[in-house]
Amino acid sequence: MEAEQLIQDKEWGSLTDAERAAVFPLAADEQEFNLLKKMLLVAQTGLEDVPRLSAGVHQRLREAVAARERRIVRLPRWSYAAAAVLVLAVASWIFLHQSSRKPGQPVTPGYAHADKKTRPADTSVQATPPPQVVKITKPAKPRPYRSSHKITWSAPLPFDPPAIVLTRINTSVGANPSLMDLVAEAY
Amino acid sequence: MAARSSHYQNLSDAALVRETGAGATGAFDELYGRYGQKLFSYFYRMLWKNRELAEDQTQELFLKVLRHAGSFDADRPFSTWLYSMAHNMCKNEYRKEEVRQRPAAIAAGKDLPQTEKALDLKQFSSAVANALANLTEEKHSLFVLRFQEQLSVPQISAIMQVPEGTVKSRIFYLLKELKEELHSFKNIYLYP
Repeated sequence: MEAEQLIQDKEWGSLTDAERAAVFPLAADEQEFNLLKKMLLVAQTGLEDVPRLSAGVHQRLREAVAARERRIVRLPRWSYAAAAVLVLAVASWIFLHQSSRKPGQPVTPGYAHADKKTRPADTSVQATPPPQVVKITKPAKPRPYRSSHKITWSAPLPFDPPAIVLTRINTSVGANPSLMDLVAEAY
Repeated sequence: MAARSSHYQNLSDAALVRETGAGATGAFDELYGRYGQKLFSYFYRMLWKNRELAEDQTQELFLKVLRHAGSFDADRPFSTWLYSMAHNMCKNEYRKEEVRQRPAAIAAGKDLPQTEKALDLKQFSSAVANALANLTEEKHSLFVLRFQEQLSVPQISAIMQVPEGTVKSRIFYLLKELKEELHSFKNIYLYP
């Protein structure tokens, strides 16, 4: 037993030798022992009258608990409704997306919508049928005037902007004899 | 209602905390009944016998219990958890109180006659109260927990987060210090 426990629980006269040895560092004699005993007794009982905790504290805390209960009960209803709406929205989006996709169209959900918006309708590429495979020949190096020279151009590959531009330029120059003359003169 | 109330009376502290966290007012009432006044007494003794402050702290403590009910470790005694939070709250209050308003230190028993006459118990009580009021926050807390709240050394060790040996040693030196403080009462017959 601890020294302070012995002081609280026992009387000096009833202490054994071992117990007296245990309390000795704190209470070397009966007077010190009794002084400490009385101090602890006073501290425990009559030192100060602790008032009763007012009922208002209990009431306020009770309301906080009740509010928590209401919130907990309501929460699942909201969460279930929100979850149901979310699931429906996601399912509808997936369904609509799947049905609007043409066969053969690559599945690029993230970009398909953006492509539709940004690309003008008249420049859209038709995947089928494939365009006629043509060979692009390099434009011949202009030579001094040879009027009999006919430049033949094949149709450009789609999605080859430089080729399209080049074709347009060459076609228009070749089709116009006066321009060809001008070029010849320049050379 | 009565059956429900008795149902809560049979529950452990840990179960009551769980139920309180789920919003059961009956469980909270039982928990508050078990610890409300005890914790208020602790705050009252620790916080300069300021009733309003002690009530505020008690309320705040139970709100903390409510907020952290989910994180309560059921393997740990609830009372220890509660007193740990209360102890820390008191420490914060002591920190806030830059200049602690100690009652005017009355030299405990210094002016008392060193005679064999029975002293008024009130005089001795006043001297003890003053001696306690002059203790540091740590020592005062230790005294309140050990000798007024009657908590065990392992409990205090868990609350103050110091080894049990340190608690025992601090109790020893605390009693020695108080004995020195009240030394003048040594030769006086104190028993009525």
